[in-house]
Amino acid sequence: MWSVVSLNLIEVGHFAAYLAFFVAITQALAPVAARILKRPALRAISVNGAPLVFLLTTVGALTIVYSFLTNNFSVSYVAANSNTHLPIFYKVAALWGGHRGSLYLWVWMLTAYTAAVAYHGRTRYPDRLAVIMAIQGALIAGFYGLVLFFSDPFLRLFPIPAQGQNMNPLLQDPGMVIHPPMLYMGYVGFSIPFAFAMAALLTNWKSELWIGHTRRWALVAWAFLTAGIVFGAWWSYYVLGWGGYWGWDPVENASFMPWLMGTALIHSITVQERRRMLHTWNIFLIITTFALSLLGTFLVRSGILASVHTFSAAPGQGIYLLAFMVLVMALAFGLFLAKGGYQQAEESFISPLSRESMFIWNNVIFTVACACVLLGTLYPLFLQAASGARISVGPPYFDLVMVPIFLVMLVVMAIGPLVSWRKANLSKLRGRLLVPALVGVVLGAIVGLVFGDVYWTAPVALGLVGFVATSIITNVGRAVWARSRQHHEPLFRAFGQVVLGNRRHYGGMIVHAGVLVMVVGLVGSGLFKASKLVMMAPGDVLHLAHERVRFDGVQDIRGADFTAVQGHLTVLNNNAQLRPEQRVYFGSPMEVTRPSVNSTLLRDVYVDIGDHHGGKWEVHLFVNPLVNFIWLGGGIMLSGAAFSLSDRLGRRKKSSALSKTVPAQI
Amino acid sequence: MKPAAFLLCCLWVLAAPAFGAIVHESVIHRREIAIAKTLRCTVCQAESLAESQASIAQDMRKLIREKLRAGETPAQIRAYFVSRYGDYILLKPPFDPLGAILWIWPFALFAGLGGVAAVMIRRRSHAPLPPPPPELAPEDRARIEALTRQE
Repeated sequence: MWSVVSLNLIEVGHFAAYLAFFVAITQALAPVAARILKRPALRAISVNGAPLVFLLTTVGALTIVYSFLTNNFSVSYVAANSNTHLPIFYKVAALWGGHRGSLYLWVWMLTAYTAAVAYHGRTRYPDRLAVIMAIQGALIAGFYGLVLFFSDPFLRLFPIPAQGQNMNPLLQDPGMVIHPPMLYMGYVGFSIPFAFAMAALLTNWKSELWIGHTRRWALVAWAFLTAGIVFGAWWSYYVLGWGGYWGWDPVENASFMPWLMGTALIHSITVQERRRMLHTWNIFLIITTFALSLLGTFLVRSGILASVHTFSAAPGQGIYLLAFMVLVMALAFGLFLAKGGYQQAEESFISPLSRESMFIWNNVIFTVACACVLLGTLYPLFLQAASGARISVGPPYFDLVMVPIFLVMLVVMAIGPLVSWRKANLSKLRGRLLVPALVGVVLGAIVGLVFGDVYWTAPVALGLVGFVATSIITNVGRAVWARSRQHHEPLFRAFGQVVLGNRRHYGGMIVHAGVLVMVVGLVGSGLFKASKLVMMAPGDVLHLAHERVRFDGVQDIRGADFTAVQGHLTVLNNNAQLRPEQRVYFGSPMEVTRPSVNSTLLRDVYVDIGDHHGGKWEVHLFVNPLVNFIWLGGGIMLSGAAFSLSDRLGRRKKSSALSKTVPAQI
Repeated sequence: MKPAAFLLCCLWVLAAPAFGAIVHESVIHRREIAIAKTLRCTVCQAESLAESQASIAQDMRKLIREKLRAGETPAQIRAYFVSRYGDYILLKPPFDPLGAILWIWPFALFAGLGGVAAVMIRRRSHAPLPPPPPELAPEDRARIEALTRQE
């Protein structure tokens, strides 16, 4: 009896998903109905629908996971992406291990965000919540349409196969559990600022009332997107075996574009909060960031790009996604043009030299960066579609174009936080910049003398890192010193008071510090990477960049769902053992390379093993300096974002007594 | 090679028997990889010849190696591949009628957006602003009126 229920439990999930689809449509239409029927109470449907849609979508997700765990191959998605040998760990992650499931995860996250906003907004912005929920409902319904009509993960397969196929071997890695959900949380998260902006345009919502919430949601999405991209790079580095972490692959670019615009957004939104200007520009940025998130999804999920990241997709899906994207953008920009007038600057610039104008230069640079990535990614597709001509735009192009842009960003990053709001005093600013500039020049000169013959970018980038770092440190130091003098506090206490007292600003400075650490890693590993590809017999020693690596032989090993040839190598400098593998997974003809890495703070020794001829094995050795700085920098950036977000928590406790006296409505 | 590194290499060659034979990578291979990085693997998904494991990529790398041994320059080798496969094979698009926009675009954008930003900042400095939007949206005001009427 139970076995029949267990076999068909997936249908409950399927039903729940359809139900969620219809509830989402209701959610989208309720405020419209409320207006037409003049029954404002109907608006509550939108808000109350959100947790219901989330619950129903969760039921659907759980039945898919349950089907994976019970090897229910009557579900065609399970049969295509799992088999009885697949470790349990990956069976859970297999929910997003294929095309259909990954889209379902997208929708599930959208419903989760929507439910979170419904909860968050019930006391903070109850009067506009219904409109926000309606917009989210429309997005959910749109994506459910894609899932249910074009890539349904609940479809059944008869007769039931005895054994399933396998999850893509490249995806069988712990990174698979973290990277896609993080990235999706980022993509999907930008729908919330979008819904806020649309609600603001539709209901003439006063800027001060929505911009603060929007900033926080944008920062949440930005943090997830950052985590997703850094985890993706980390995963690619430790698993794919090419010794690199970023290849300007179109799909990587697709995630990088919303990141760039999102970064511009969280900077310029501060100007709207502090100086009541840039309202329309911010709405434009919000729409663009979300549009690029949709574009990313479209590029990855429509099958028009060929990449490690794409799954084969059903025809029709690309057209649906494209049509949906065009519709959403047309409505959004139409609304922006029609009603953007209400959201307008309330104050003007006082001086061209001010923090607000520095933020504008930041936005110019990030927008240019994003537009360059956009053109480089889409132009080849466009050209091929338009004229049939095929060109390639690859890493050599992006490196050449993007590196100077990033260097300019560093310059603005050093100067921006030193310029005061409204009107900066030029001579004071000069004084503040003197020491950082000196440090930068000296550091750049030292790097240039030591490694000068390699690349011009190394001394320039590291000099700029020194410039920015000193600018941050002296800036904090000045604030701490001033407070210590004013309040007669010991320095460490003054430091705590200064940093904890303005978490938003210093959270941002922590993110900047993380960027600097990452830049050091990027310069080290990007410019000073060494590699050799050689044939080695057991006992042979390979020298590369002061590292000596001995090849000790190979061994055949067997994993849960693969067999592998495992190479044994020793790094003679520190006696570390390296175990690269060449795996063959069941049901897959492809050989999968698994690198092995010996990591220290300053360098990674990274090795792949390949084919063998006549008692010798192909060994690909890399020595990548400072790679760990990249992951460390990513971690610092995330903690900075978290610190910045913790700002409201502290302040709310203080003001909670006050806010209780204010009625929740209006 | 720097003298110190050369000396180190000599030392290790002398000490080599203790560790087994030292394996060297040929200079040709290094140059081969440098060229392979700028060329696309024609059957792969966004990979260069240097990274690709595909057999055609390995054959093409072998061809690069042979041409290097024959004394051809990297430019000549790239030109050969372009004559066979077209511009598609170059990962860095050339500055020709089709690829020019990719190289003009960043500069044009910087100039354009930077110009707009500069003009905007200048024009809005001290400029009288349009009257600010009313403190409350018409909808909100209507609701307050409705509520006060009820009370």
